[in-house]
Amino acid sequence: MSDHEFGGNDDLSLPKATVQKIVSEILSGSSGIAYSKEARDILIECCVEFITLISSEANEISEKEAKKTIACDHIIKALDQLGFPDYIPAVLEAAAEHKEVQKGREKKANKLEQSGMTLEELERLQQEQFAAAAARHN
Amino acid sequence: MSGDGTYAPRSPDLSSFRFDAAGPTSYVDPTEPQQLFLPQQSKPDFSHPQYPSSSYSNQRRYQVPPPQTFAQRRPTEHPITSQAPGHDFGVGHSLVAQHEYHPPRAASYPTPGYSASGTGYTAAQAPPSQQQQQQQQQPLYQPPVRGSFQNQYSPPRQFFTGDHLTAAQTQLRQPYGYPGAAATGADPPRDRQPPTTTSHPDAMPPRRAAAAAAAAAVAAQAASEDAPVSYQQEESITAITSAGEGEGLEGSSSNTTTTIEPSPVKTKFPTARIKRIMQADEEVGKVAQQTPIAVGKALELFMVALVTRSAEVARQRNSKRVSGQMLKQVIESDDQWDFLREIVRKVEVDESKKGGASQAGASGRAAHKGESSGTDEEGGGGGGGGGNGAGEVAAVAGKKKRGGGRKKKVQ
Repeated sequence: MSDHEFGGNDDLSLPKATVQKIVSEILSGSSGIAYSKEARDILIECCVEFITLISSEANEISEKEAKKTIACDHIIKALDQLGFPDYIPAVLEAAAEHKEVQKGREKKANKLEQSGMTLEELERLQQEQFAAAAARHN
Repeated sequence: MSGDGTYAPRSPDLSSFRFDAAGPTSYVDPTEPQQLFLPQQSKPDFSHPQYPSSSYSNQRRYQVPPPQTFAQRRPTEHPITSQAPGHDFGVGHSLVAQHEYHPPRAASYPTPGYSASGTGYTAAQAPPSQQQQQQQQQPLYQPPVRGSFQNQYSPPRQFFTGDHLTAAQTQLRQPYGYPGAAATGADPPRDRQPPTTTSHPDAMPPRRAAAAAAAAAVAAQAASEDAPVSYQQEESITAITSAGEGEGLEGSSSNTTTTIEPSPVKTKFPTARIKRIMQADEEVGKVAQQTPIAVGKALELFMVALVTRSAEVARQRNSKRVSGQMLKQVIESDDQWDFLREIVRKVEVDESKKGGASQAGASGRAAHKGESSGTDEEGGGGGGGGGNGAGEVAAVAGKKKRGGGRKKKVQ
């Protein structure tokens, strides 16, 4: 049944490798305890259920607010209503982080930072390019 | 183009020559004195061999290069010698000049303008009109260089904005993100900020202070609405249970705390997948871009809680391996997770089929399960035992398995 519902449809499940990785990251501190495969599969199901639960609750909240889009705010409220208020601060932080990353780095700084070069290097590169361009045109 | 090569060497003559050809009017003396400044910046480019003659002559029209200055400039245009003269431009001109001037100037570029962004750059940016002109001009004569030019060219803006904000940002770099977070409606994590919200406005630039104030108000409201009591309880629980969340969480009343544990989890769930799972429910419509991220974070915390607890159970049982049974035990030990009981109920059936001695720790629960198997909804609700939300959750889980519209009945 469970296989049919989740395992069968890969799209509606979480990637096993990712889950396994996260589990081992969580368990890295605790002396050599590992997750069995079945436990991991159950865990994945639980995760999917959790997502579904949160999203349907959030959906309801958003509908109550006459919003068509489920926003982060609705997730927060859903978490609170569903008995996971302790997750809220971290979720907020993650959302804020993401927002900041979206805003700040991607648009502005990225070009310089992504290039991974110092200004001097960029300069040199530019000069080379200029030289090449000049050579092409002469 | 043909004139370019020849043009560079004997600039003074040629320039005057061109002028006559292209636009005789522009070369008239009266214009020269006014535009002495502009030509200084832009001239170098024109005389540079690269530039097509057509664009060259165009620009000449409005930016008349007086012959003398032109002659002065000429030497600088030669790539090798350019750097030294480049500095002569002075602070005000230097940057603007650099933009136009890049081929030769690139080397000297960062020194006055970019790296020393504070003074040189802002000065250069100050006359916007000049830069706009330059921007318009650039496409004309710079086809080959353009890519690199843009690379160089975008940074200035950063620095420029950065200059205004540096003072504030150095102090408030982290707090910056939080007003937004708080505005989303709940207690903002303020652990990196100065302890009280009242202190923010002092340090913040006015704009941000306002935002923070608003955020604080919203947060306070949300906190009061959302029953801060349970908040604190939950927090204390997590502080005890999960080792990672070691630091105690102080009351939400001050709005200051909520130390967020350094999560052991570095891996992130794929947001696209999360979104898809969310939208697998037909009732769920659009989902904001940030929402899957929030859900992913919540999911991560959920996993941390579940996994650490189940690991504890495994340790208690002297097992190195967390079995499905242990996971089930954990889930059934806490009403918080009652929406998962449906899943573990099945799991246990599976396991008992496999011959696992899974019933051992769960005899009491097995009885409960017998009840709940009759009617999923009621059983789930009763099993939840916790108030409104728990029953709802269980019912949701139960209905979901049947593929019905889950929320309507609950409501």
